[in-house]
Amino acid sequence: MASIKLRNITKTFGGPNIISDLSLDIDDREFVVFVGPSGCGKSTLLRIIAGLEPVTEGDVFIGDQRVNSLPAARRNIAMVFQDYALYPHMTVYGNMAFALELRGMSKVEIDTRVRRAATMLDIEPYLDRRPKALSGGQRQRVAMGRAIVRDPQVFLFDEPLSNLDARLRGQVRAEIKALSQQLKTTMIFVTHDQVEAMTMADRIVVLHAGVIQQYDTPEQVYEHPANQFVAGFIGSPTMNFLPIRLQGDEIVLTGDGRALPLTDDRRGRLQNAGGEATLGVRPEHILLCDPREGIAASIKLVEPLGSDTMVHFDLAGTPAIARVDPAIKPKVGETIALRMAPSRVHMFDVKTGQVLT
Amino acid sequence: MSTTLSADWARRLNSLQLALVGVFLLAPVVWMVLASFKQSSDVIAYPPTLLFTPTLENYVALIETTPFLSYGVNSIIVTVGSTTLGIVLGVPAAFVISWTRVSWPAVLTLAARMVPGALFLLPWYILFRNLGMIGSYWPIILSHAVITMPIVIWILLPYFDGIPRSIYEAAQVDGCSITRILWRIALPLVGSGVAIAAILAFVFSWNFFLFVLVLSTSDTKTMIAASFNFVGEGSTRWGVLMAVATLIALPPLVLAMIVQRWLIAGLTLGAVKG
Amino acid sequence: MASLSRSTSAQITGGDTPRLNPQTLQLTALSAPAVLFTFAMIAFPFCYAIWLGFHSFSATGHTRFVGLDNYRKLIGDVEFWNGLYVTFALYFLGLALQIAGGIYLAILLFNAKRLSGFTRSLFISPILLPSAVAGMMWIIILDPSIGLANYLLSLVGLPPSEWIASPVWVLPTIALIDTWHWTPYVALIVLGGLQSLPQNVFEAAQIDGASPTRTFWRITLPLLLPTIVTATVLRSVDLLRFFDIIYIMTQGGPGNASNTLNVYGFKIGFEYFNIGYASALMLTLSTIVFGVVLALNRLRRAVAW
Ligand SMILES: Nc1ncnc2c1ncn2[C@@H]1O[C@H](COP(=O)(O)OP(=O)(O)O)[C@@H](O)[C@H]1O
Ligand SMILES: [Mg+2]
Repeated sequence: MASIKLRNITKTFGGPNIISDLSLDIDDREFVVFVGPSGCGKSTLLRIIAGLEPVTEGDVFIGDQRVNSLPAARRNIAMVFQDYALYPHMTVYGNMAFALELRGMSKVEIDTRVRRAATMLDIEPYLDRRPKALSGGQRQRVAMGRAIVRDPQVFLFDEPLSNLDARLRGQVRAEIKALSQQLKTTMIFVTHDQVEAMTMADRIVVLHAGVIQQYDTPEQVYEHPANQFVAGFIGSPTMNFLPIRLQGDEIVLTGDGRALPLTDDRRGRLQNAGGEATLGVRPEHILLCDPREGIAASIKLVEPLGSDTMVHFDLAGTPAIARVDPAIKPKVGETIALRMAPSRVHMFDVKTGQVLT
Repeated sequence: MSTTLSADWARRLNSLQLALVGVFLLAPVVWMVLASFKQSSDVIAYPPTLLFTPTLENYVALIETTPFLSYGVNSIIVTVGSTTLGIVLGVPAAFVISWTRVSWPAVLTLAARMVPGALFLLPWYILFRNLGMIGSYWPIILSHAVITMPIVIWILLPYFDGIPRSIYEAAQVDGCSITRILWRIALPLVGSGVAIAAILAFVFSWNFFLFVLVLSTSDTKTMIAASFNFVGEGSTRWGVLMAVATLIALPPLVLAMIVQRWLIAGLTLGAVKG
Repeated sequence: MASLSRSTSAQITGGDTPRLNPQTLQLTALSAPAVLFTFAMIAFPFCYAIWLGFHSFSATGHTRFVGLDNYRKLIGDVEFWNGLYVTFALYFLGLALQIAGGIYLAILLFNAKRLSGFTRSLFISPILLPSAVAGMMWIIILDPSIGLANYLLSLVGLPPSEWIASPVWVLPTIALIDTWHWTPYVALIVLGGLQSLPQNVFEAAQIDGASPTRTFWRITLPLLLPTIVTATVLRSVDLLRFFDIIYIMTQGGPGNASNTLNVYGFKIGFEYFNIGYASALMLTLSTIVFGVVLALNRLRRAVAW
């Protein structure tokens, strides 16, 4: 159990910076998820913490120890790899016992630990099998078991669910979450899937091009995205973005000049930003309303998901999506009237993408 | 109907040609083995005969009148020694090359395949003589390791490259040093590759002619080196000469049949993928 | 040698203290024996040979720097030019026979789908024989008075040949023996290439209505070219350094009719102990081999698909 501190980390592979001047504090026993699009540097950052990749500049602390030159073998961390990286020539038992054996632990102690972990993960019946004879889900559990028996300072996960089918993924997601509450160890989990991030994390690190965009709780990241990138990346379907501007006293859609009923403080913020901004509104915050009050839009596409129905349409020339109650049975070609929940919309700077405050 | 008929004929034609080529390739070997079992009168019979009473007299003569058995022992010492040395040097080297992806050392070892062996032999001979090593097995074993080590490296490289990087990393996280990763993780995973490399190294070292020709002395003479002397007196003892040739040819043939499936990789030293 | 062009980016560098990093240290330790061996047995002798090439050694053990004298002597040496001719005559003759024969055998083997592994390995067994043994077995077959070869000639009504005892026939004969020895090797490589060709191309050609002959010349052969060049490189390296079979069978004779550069150089070095001149000769031969390999490698890049 340990906290992790990254200070001004920069990483290059000889070319451009993959990670630029990144600092991050992870508390002891915290479950932190690194999320971001593929190639943004999540794995690199995780591997820097693991000691598998040296930093170009900056310092890494685990606990209060600076570990820059400490090899992975001596950092007392455990890692679950995307392809599980089980040792093909060892049994499940051997895979789990290997690290303990290297540490010179007694046979009895090893046996106790391996069996306890196996029980926890429901893999006791397979202890004598080789990885080849296991299903994907079972292998994933063995990889976790190999990490758990170590009782490490920190658990690192690099997209451990991405090779599982959708149903299993949801199940294992819940199990890892439960496990983290049981083990009370610092955990870092890397994923490109924002649903995994939202459901599992105590705090989320949203990464983009090697730079932290936002580091906060899932609620905060969802409700108060720091910039347009985070707003667009978190949430599904993605947030609608519409250009707006100040026209006289009113905030209007740039596309067709239609006035939007927004709160007064937003007018001030828009004024400060030079009168133009990008409006962000999630599909669930576009509401159906009385045709006399709302904005009329013609439905282009309907996607029923069962619990909700997604409705696609054009708003002032920009494609947009609303999440509606399936009971209203929308049809393509119909005209609907919409309004936005005034307190739930976001405004972003046109140039920097930063949220306007 | 006509297409299946012609396909059938095409297949037969193919088999026929294959058989003819096979006869051309195998007949000399068969002739050699047969001659080694012929009495001297049968060997020099003209027209050459296929019908004869087999005899072991050539082999008996070889063992009784020449130190051929001790040549055989020398051959085994040299070949086993150089194969072992090739494995000991080549396995860790191949592992490091695969790990670091720095390939120039592997390329450098191939230089030995392009340069005429005599170019190395001159300096070697001078060096070994100055070190007083001529007369021992070491010059021969060391010179043959120049053949075996590159074989081991080039055979094993794709095996090591085939191990997913993440397995090495998992082992690092589990607490393995690099040396331990080689011993506990990589070597068990490439075991069959090591066996194949060893057999091929053995065959190539066994077959190599030039270095023993110069570096062996009367005490360390191997079968191949001795064969040159037998050729000198050949016309008088054809049968014995063929017995020598048969005995020398036997180990590589037997071993190579064992690994025939992997032979191409070894013979081409990574020239052909797959 | 296709896989020679591996990436050379060294990625195992430490963070703070790259030199004392335990990983780097262990990697160095693991590779040290092989590296030391390579330097001691390959790199150093090579450089030593270059040094030898610039010196002359008297019988009294006296060493004298002679600059380019050994190389100048080479240019005036009739035997050198003869060796060069013999080397290249043998090279082109052997290469043509082996490449053509290898492609032919490879296609036969490729079409014989139901060949057992054992039968297949019978076809490659000549490769496995030491060249010394190959030389010995052909000596008796080619013997002018008792040999099987002349008997077979007489069966088809041809006059007997002197084979390796004839200055005219010695080179074709030796090329033929080497072809017997190494054609299966070329066939193995080409077979590997054939087996890795994309099958759908042939199906497409069939659908397009191409005849088998046309398919071979227009599709199979061009796709095989890189493999064929690879086989050519590997055979060139050996053919240009032709030694074993000649040394066993003819020692360069009759006269100097089969005196390749490698055999000639060996004799100068180890029979006349003219070390400086032999080194110069061997270095010249090495340069020729490197040159041919480089040229062929360029050709391979040109025919890659
Ligand atoms: N060993 C390496 N050498 C060179 N570039 C690398 C290496 N590892 C990762 N990269 C590059 O760094 C960037 C980030 O990679 P990574 O951290 O794996 O992204 P992800 O967020 O998808 O896990 C990518 O552009 C990748 O190409
Ligand atoms: Mg990744």
